[in-house]
Amino acid sequence: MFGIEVHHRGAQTVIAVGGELDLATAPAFRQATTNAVADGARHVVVDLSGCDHIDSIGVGLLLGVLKRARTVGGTLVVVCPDPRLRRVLDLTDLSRIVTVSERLDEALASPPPDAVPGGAPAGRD
Amino acid sequence: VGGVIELEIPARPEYLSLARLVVASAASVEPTFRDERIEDLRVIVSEATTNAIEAHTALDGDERILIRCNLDDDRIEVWIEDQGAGFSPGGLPDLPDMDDPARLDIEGGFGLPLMSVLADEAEIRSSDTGTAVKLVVYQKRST
Repeated sequence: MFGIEVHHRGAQTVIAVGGELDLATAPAFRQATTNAVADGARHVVVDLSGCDHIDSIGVGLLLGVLKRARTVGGTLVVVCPDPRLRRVLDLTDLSRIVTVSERLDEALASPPPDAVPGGAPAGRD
Repeated sequence: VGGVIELEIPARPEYLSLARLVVASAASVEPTFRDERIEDLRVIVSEATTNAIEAHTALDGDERILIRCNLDDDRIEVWIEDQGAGFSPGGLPDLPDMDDPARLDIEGGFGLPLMSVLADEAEIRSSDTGTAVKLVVYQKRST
């Protein structure tokens, strides 16, 4: 069953996806991620730990999240423990431009420099 | 061993999951196919069926998509046929490289390359009255 949960961990916003990310579920995902950035999220973590399918539609959606995050000086990290799904991210070269982590705790343990006290100012890569 | 399985679905996104499930389950019947090959099949069927559903979005009828699996000892051949407006696979525009910021403006363009990488054979026959995609996956990856 598809589902999305949004929660905050410090300066990072975690968007957890459950179920299948495809053409049928794309509108809900796009709406949730657009809303999250409009509500102030900058450093977005899309957690695919509960996701059991992704295809080119999902890859395009993640590209859209990256664009929206960068527009506000933010970042995107994708958490993807499933090697089947990571293969899709690799074959489409998404993993060349997006940080892909195998574990959520790893992603949250390495926040962007400007998301920690005393870090770099916003807007820098 | 061998057989033919046919599935006809309405050209609507909510049936995409069913198409993946049926084809992957059919492939699982053949015990010599490894899980990684079945996963390849699941993704490429999703890509082709997604394209078929999207080809119907401009139409207002209750069109159907036909999915046919020919199961064999060492290969699975899948045909996906729609009645939507066709396209020219060779006429698609070149996309910016992933490192180019302009690529972020285009969410599409990943499906056909993914199909060509994951399928051992991929063939697209498209006309004004529909598109037929043939995808073949062998027991072992050819690359």
